[in-house]
Amino acid sequence: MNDFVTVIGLEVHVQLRTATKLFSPAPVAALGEPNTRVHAIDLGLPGVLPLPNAQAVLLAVRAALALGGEVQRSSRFARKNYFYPDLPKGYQISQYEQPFCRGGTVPLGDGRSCRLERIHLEEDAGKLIHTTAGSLVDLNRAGVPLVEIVGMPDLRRPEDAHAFLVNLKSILQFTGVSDCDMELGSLRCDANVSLMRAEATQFGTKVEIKNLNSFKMVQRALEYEQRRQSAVLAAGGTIAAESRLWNDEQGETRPMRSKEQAPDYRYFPDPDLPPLLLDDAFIAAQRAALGELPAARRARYRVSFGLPDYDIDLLTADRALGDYFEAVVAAAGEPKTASNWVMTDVLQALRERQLEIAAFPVPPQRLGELLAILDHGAITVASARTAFARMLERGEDAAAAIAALGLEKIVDPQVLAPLVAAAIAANPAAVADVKAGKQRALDALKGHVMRATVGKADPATVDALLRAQLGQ
Amino acid sequence: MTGPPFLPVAELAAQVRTGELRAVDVVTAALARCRTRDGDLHAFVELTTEQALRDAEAIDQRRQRGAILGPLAGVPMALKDNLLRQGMVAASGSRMLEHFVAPYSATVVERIAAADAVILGRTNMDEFGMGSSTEHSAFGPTRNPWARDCVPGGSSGGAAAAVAADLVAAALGSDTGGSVRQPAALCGVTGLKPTYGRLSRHGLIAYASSLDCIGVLGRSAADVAAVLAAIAGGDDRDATSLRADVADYGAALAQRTDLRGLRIGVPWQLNGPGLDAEVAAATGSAVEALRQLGAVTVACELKRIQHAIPTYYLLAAAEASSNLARYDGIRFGLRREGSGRLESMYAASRSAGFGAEVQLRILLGTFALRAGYHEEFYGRATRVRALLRQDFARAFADCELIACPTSPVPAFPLGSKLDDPLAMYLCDALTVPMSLAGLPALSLPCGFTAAGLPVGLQLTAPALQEQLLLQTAHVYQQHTDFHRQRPAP
Amino acid sequence: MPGVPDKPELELDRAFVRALSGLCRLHLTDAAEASAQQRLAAVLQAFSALRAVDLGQDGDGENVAAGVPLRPDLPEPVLSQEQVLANASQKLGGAFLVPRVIEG
Repeated sequence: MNDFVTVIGLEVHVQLRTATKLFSPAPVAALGEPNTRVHAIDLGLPGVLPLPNAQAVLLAVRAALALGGEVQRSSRFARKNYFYPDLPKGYQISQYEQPFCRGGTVPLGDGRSCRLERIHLEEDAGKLIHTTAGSLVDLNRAGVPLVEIVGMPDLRRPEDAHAFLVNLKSILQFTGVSDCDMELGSLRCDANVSLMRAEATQFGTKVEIKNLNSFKMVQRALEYEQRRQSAVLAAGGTIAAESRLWNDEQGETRPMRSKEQAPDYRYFPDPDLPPLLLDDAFIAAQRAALGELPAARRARYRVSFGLPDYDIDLLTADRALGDYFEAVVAAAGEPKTASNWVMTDVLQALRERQLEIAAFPVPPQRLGELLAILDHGAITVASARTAFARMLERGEDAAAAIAALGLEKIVDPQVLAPLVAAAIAANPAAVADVKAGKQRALDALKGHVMRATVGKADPATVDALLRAQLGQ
Repeated sequence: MTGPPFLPVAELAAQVRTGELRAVDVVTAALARCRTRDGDLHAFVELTTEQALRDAEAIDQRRQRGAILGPLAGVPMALKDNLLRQGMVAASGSRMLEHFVAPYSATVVERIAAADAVILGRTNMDEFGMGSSTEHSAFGPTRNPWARDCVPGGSSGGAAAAVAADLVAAALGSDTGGSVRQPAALCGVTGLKPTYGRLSRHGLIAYASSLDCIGVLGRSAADVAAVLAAIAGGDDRDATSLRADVADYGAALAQRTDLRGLRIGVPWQLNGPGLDAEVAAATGSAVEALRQLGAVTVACELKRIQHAIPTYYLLAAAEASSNLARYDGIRFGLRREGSGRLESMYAASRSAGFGAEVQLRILLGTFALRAGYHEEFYGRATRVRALLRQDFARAFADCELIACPTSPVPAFPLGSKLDDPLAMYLCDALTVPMSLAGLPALSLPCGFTAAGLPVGLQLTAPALQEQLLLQTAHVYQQHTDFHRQRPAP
Repeated sequence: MPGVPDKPELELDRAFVRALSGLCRLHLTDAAEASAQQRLAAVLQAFSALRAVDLGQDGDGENVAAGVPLRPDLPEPVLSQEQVLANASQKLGGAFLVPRVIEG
């Protein structure tokens, strides 16, 4: 294994977040019964013609720009001809000699990256379900818009393949191009892997691995293949150029039943579709709409807010969440507090209410105001949480909620002293512990006062009063 | 025999609109003629009699209720078997689609229905448009009304025969390499292939996508113009359809009474050994007649015209091999299980559903796209096509129309070219160049052979100049009466 | 047909035709295969003059004045399941039925 260099190239199909299919106006929304999302165009009926979706092109261009690819001003759709029951026309409309994007890169972390060969648009096929009665064809998925992202064989380790996928997903989710959910099928990945001797000048025979259903599975499968191929080569054997299916339960790849070797797809430009022309103005508009990409935002948060990596990762995962956070900071002033509140209180509330941040009832400015009040010491943290809950329920602003609940912090020793005395009187065991030198017992007495004041007592004042009354 | 039983289309529609004529009466008479004559000719694959009468009744009732009827009100028309009509069978001349019921209507069919034309049924054709004689129909041949032992031409042979025999006033066909113009010439009617994209292909069963054009057949340029006006124009359902404004074809007809100043190019390369002497004579006389009407003829050169046939056949076959891949028996069409395995099912269904000519063209097309031969055949044909376009552009720098015979030969006896497919392909030699260049072209009757077989003159114009074609043909038809001749019943 | 430099010599024999027909999912009888072979050979022989055409400097010559129109991303009505299956001869449980495909 030491003599060999592993060479990995990934081919990723990503579903674009459109309302309708690539060449037909059938909706792509969640599927129900089979063959209920099928337009005449998807069925491949005699006489139907493909009608390209503007939003699919827009998102595809954004994907290309977000990945640093070169968007071609003119490109063509091409027919990929083959016979299969889930392919209604007997050809797939894809792109071949003239894809809409050439080049690009996907960052791998720590300054390294993987080059892309190209990105092109294509329609998805339907689904086949195999039963004893035969195979069942459901065309709901036929025609769904995909981009195929072809990575160059720059990857050298299975963990880099994992990083490729994680970062690709981050960029495409962030820019609203795709949900990139492998479980739901909006991202699919095939991996090509070969081994070559360190001093060799040519790549070895590559094997294609399919049936990869999660990012971790991709890594596991590549690790397995790496071991398998090096064992074969070390024993003097040769690697067969084939496609192999990953079996996650058994933890191994197995050759697929041989299909046609290197099928001849007889690609030619689709005569039903004139060239796809993209002008400079359109491309510039998409670049502008992209806004800040995840990497740039992460760097900015590190520098401007001085937040730790954990916070940054969470806040930059979703563009809308990051925007919310920044608006909170703008009103509150202190980034770390804002970050804590967004990461815990806000996210928890979103989960409980099954909401997206865009629909969150507390505008970021209001949360910011609350945090500013907290920062000034006018309320306690516990009170702030109580106020926040009310702001959520009633849509009030911070000042109104605090006033309505009477949450202003109690700092007046004259008010607190009797309460402290009452706490001492009610907890003789704790008092004895304190006098015996157990400082922790002070917290129990403090807690008593906090409860009595519904969290409004200023902890520092309570602490001072307790020590004074106990003679500490 | 001269004079048609139908009034000219525009006049017929006008009288139905005023109530002078009842649509039901017009259609009933047409259906009667179909019954008497079509048993022999077999122009129709199916007459949808009940529906036609219902449609005619509905039109008359709407007029009685005060509705304004459309520009083709009550005009009996026929559709080639490859145009979809919702709820009706469209078989494209093939066993593969013999029982296929269309779930939607073609755009052009919607438009003639909106214009209140009445569709009598679907006409016979060479299977999937592949042929020049209608002998490759799975449902039997059509006979030429002028000579029952001869072909009507193809692939829109049924449509041309139906118009020639006065079964309908006009018909819609399709023209990929000459399939409207050549049968029009062989049947003595007027046939127009518009600019590629002028008529929406939505709902036309595809043969070769970059060449297929829907076409109009009628008894005169005026009739063709009336139908074209109702169906031309862009369509959001066809990405290749042209959004350019539709010219006022009717107004164009009225604009001119002679052809003074019109420059007509005559390509000298098209006079070859394959050109029948009587065809040459009749078209020569026609060109002379155009000169008499004031036109000026100039020699023009179409340098690479002799490569048009192979270029056409390779490109058309390649596109067809792909367009016909959807016919696998799974979602529609004929299905045979074969041995029971999937691949056997595909092969059994397709081999039973497609006729020999179609299978051969699929093989040819698959070959032209085959890895290793792709660039040499498909690639090269694509580039020669571009050169031919340039040849036409160069010719049109010096003239406004190009005139030549439509078909090198008149109608030939049934069966006479079936053993010689190359000879059959050559029937298209004079029409495929215009198809490759996407240009509008029209065939008009210009004479007869000694045996009484019609001869057609073909006029070609630059893109989107259909009105010039119709106008010129109309002037010619004001001064000649070849188009008014009728075959014996 | 003469071979082209760097291209396989075109051997239009029965095996070639059989391979072609497999590619396009046609099953030809023996007689049909023989006939197809003859016809294809004759057609390609007739078309061989195409190879001699001087293609010149010109490019594709495509008219790219208007690019493909793009459709707004608005859903429209689809066919009902019944309509989708209406013309199919073999169906089961709302899906099209084909002989079991052996995948893998």
